[in-house]
Amino acid sequence: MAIFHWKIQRISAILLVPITIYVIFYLLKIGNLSYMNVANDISSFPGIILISFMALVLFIHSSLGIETILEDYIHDVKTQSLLVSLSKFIHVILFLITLISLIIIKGN
Amino acid sequence: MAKFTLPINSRVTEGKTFKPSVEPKNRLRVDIYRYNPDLNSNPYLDTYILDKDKFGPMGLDVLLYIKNNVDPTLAFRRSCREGICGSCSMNINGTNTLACILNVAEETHLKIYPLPHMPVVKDLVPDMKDFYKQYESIKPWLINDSKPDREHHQSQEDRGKLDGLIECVLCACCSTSCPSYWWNSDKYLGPATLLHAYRWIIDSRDTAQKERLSELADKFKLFRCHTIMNCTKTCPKNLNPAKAISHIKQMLASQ
Repeated sequence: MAIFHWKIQRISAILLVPITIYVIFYLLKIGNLSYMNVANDISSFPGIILISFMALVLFIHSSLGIETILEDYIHDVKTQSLLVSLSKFIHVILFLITLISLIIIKGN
Repeated sequence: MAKFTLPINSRVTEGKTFKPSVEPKNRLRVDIYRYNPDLNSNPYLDTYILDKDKFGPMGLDVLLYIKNNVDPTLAFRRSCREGICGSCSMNINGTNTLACILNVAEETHLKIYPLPHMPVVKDLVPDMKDFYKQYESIKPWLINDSKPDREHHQSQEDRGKLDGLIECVLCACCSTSCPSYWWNSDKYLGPATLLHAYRWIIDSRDTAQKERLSELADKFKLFRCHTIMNCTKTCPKNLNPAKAISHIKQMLASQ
């Protein structure tokens, strides 16, 4: 399990590099786009796939990172596992909020 | 929770100043952490004003001069005085090192503390009991049930893989410089022990590589290493424990 955690943390970090670069370039030109352009980009098929994939990778990476920090600094085993479970739950909720937001934007 | 401040009984207070009757020409000021468990008081920092012309250039020369001529109550470990035994490991001017191989000839002010984050027995003598238990836990001996007529043979190439690993003298400078080891020294094995674990994992004569690796595949024993690299930076023997740890992780990941 520890090796799996270590591998996924690194794979998700590598996957986030090209996605982050793409998002930065998109945000740099966002000032020239209208509200409708941006809404269309997000609700297009590639937009939905990209954002869903980015959210999935980002929240997995974030969840694993926070789990590592909690294991580092919280010594009490019960408190540690409670906080790790809470962190995972929050990350699942954040991912679901992302998906619901996409569905709402697509619906409009 | 992790503790970010020292407990009240660990806070260092001001100690005595030892000055020669005549101000030395080649002056060296040495501040040394002192702790005497019999006094039932906080640790304190003693200051010694010395004449550099009266002793050799190494950190251990300074300490031996103080113990022999100024203050015989000062306690520290030492033995070989040439970086082989690992006894005189301590923190000098903010860096863990072996006092015997640190040249301090150009220094005018030394601050000497015991190895960080270790229980102190007295003055500069840390309690190494847990460190040695961790070392023992990796079975630091050859595991090979075959009984050759003479010695276990090893090619020069395989022997070469052990260079940079067998030179470790277990001084604990690396482990005690590692923040991960500070927070979790009860569960994380630390760089010194892991370097030795790797030394046995890649020994061509050892037949327990799989068992050794599976023993280490634990989120605390090995994966508390976050590649901070303090271990490599501080090693007084110029070894690279961080590289050894990353090789163990790679071997586990490719299994």
